[in-house]
Amino acid sequence: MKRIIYTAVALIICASVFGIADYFNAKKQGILVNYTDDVQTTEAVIPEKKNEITAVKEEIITDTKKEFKKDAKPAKKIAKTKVKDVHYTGIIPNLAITEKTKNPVIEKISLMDMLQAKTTDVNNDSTLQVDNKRRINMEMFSRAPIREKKLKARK
Amino acid sequence: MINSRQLTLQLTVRYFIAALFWIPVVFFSLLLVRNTIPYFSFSQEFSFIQERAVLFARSIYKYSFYTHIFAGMVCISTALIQFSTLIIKKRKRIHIWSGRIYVMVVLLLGAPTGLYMSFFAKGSYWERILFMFMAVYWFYTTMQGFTTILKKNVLAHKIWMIRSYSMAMTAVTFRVYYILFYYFGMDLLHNYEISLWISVLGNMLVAEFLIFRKSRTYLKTFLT
Repeated sequence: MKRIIYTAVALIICASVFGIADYFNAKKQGILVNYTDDVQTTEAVIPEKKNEITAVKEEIITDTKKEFKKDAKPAKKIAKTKVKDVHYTGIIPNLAITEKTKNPVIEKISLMDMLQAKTTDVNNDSTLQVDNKRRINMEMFSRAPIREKKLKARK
Repeated sequence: MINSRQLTLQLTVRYFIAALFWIPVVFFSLLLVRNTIPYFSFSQEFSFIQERAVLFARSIYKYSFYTHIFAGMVCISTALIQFSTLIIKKRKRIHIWSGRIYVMVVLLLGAPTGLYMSFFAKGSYWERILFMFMAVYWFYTTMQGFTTILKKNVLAHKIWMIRSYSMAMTAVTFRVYYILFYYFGMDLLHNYEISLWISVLGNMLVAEFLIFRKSRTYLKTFLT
């Protein structure tokens, strides 16, 4: 039984020696993980979604412009009295709204992620604010599980 | 003079308090064991591994980690049956063998790997020092518990094993506090540090309180 204790003490000494050596070695090489810069933020910016939204808008705008040019005659009939200039910007949003209902491309803007993350739209520039209400589940009772969720959300 | 009704009431209250203590302990211990099992797929997908990718590139750290979580699983599982008076009285062999496994795993696997990993632990210097203290204290208390039972000193063995178990249980209580503070909206790093300190110091205080109660009842036996 004494052998076990001696072995255990030797292991502890080895662990501390190796630990100190590796720690200073890692510090020299600068590969120590710095966790302190990991500040939790309540705002999550989704640039991809923003791009999608703007791309769709641009698409619609350009399409409508083209259509407007193509179908100049009926357009003139409709907006003869109101708009003389074809490039009048005030008319574009209305056309965009009508196109939104027709164009299935808009369905690509999926807000499922936002709904899953319990997010609410704050600004028009697609900056989302995450709700402070947090959910708990069994999987969290592990090593760094909350961070894992955060990474998934980032992806 | 206590009558039988009062005695029954006292026993009921005692069992109820014991159940209040042990049901969450057993539940959270088994939950931790269950949630540790996926790590043995040796996948790199876990965020714990991802954020320590540089450290996991070193084989010594990687092996230490897997050894440590294996040791933790075994310790928590075996320790659950160690405090049962029913097993100690009726099935002493189970107590002896699970105790041996616990001691071997702590002394040879859990504490040395924990001490090595504490140098790279998350948090400031104080958290690293706390982890080192935990590893050394866990090792020392387990060793004392082992040597005292070899000398047939059962009371001292009980006391040291309560202290040892309190350190093993910091893994469980830490996660309970961590999730609790997370739920109340505390930011992650502060939550981590506070939960760590509360779990270690809290467990030590609870252990000392239990020892104090036990020794008080033991001293009372001399008076009667």
